[in-house]
Amino acid sequence: MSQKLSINSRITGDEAHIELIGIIDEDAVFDKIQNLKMSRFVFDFNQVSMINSCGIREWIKYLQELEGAEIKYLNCPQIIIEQVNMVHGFIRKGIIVESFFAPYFCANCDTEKKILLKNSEVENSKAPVKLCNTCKSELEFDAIEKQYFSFLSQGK
Amino acid sequence: MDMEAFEFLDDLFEPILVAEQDGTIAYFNASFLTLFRTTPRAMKKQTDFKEYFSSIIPDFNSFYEEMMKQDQVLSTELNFIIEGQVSTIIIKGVKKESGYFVMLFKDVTVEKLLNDKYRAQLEELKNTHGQIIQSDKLKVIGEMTANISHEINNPLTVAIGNTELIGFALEANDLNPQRESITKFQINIEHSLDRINKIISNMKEFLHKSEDKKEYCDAREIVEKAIAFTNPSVIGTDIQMNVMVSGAAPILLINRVKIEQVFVNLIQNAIDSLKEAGTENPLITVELKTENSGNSIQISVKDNGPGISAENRAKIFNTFFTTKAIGKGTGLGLSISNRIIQSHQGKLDLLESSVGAHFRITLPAIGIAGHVSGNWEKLISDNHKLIRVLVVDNELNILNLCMNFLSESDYHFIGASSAAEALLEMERTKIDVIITDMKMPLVDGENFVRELRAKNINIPVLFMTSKDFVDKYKTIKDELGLEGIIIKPFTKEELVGALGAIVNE
Repeated sequence: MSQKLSINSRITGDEAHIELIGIIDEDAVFDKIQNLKMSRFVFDFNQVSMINSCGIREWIKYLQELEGAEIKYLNCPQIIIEQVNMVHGFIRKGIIVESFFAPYFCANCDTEKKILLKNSEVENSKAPVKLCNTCKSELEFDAIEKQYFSFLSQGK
Repeated sequence: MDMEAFEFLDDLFEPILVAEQDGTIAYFNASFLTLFRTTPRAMKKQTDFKEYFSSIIPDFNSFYEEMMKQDQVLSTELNFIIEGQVSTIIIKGVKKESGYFVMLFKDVTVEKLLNDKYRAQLEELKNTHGQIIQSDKLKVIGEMTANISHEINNPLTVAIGNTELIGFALEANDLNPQRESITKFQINIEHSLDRINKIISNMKEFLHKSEDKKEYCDAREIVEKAIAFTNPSVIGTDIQMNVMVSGAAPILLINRVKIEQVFVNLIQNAIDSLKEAGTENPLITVELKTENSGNSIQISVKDNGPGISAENRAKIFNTFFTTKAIGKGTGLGLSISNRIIQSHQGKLDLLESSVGAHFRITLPAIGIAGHVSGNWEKLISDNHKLIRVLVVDNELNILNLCMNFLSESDYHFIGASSAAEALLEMERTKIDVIITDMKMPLVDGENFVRELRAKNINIPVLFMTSKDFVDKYKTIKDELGLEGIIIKPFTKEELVGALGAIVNE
């Protein structure tokens, strides 16, 4: 049995702020956040450790009930972005990915970094320039830019 | 790396890698990086794709050698290991004429894990199912054992009591005045032992056969037997028993021993309650009546004792629930009775009552019961034409005989113990053939058929009667359009043969 997904939710006014923690796979249960009937949803994926294709399908099924609501995704880890780029529907029309992690590399420190980017920082599928927080040298983007950022066009 | 030349492959969802003849990696897409958890930077350092794959896919070399020998696409399932984690891929590879190696991958790790997981869950389900069946068997065996001992206990008590009474009677110097009493005690003992025998036979039958043998019985007779059976418990008390029948005594299609067991339980409970409470003018009343529509029979068992508290009413039918003192009751009687009645498509209710306890048994009337326990389901599933035969006779033995004969043949038997019941049955069921007794109380066979013909009901009718009525039959057969006569006593072949002649015609 895989580690269960846990969900923290906080409702303020008309907005549901939801934190997903753990693994999103075929056993993921979204009962806790079903039928909330809010007009705005903010999903924070920062603590999602794994997502597989079955989990993506479960999530897409869940999204169907949020039809008409305003949805934002925050702090999407690289594993989510990679799956999203392969399986369509995770970011349906109208969903905004406000922030996400992207792989960078510091040649000077020989270290891989996951840098949190805002969607507004990415233009024409070009990774924004980021500096190493240790040596302050410029980091190189550590994926194929055009393909990594292709998800940004999905919600439009 | 000549990545730009293969940009057209960027949009492929499947991971793909293109390599040159010398092993140089010419192209990979983002899905490839995701699958093998690598980066463009790391891939740039790889000078030979064979070396790269050999380091993470243990069986890659044999796949590569096979691919080199073939002109067409080679496909196989392989495992690869990254960061200690084993994943499974289907790899498709081909050596193109241009000299490039093209390799396409499909990650089937999730499918494989799901398959393993669901197989394990299925196995678990199978085991659990087996355990449930086993525990159910044990439960049934346990309940059967408790049931047998509970049910045998009553007749055993009666037999022991009567043996003691015989003992007292034998102490007298002159036995002649005691002869009548001793004979009565002896009959009681015989009846009790006979009942024990029947209970055991019934249980044996239940254990060996799933079917529940039912027969037509006179409800009053069953109630009176149950009262006689519990009679030793009221000896020396003021308890009065009263049986009230509204209209003609109802006929039931039941398992005689089991239903008798229910009445014994209800009456014995009433006796125990009255005795324990020391009720003044204690009275137990058993009422039998046919419900207005004629579809069901209601039998009430009432007493004028302390009744059942509101708190206990909801629990009264629960297994092992008892209000009796330890050792006096098992808490099985009502739960078993409830189940017996349910198995007869009836219900056992505890009614609201201002005085004492009032239990009501509702059982399907003769016609409905015949439909419920008939063989029509089997006939339909065996693709037989459903031929419904209504047998009208006030003699229950004849109804039981016809039911057995016809159920063993390919006919659907429906019974009625009077012309009135038969007419009611015909209103709700399409009947194909009627077999009626000639001599019946109230409305006899002849008048019954006259009524049918007057209503323009032209269903074929067979008379079933003794030889004495053959002349009568001859005089009315043409007028009433009778199909024939079955002379009592008859065999199965005669009955089925007479029906066959009508049906074939």
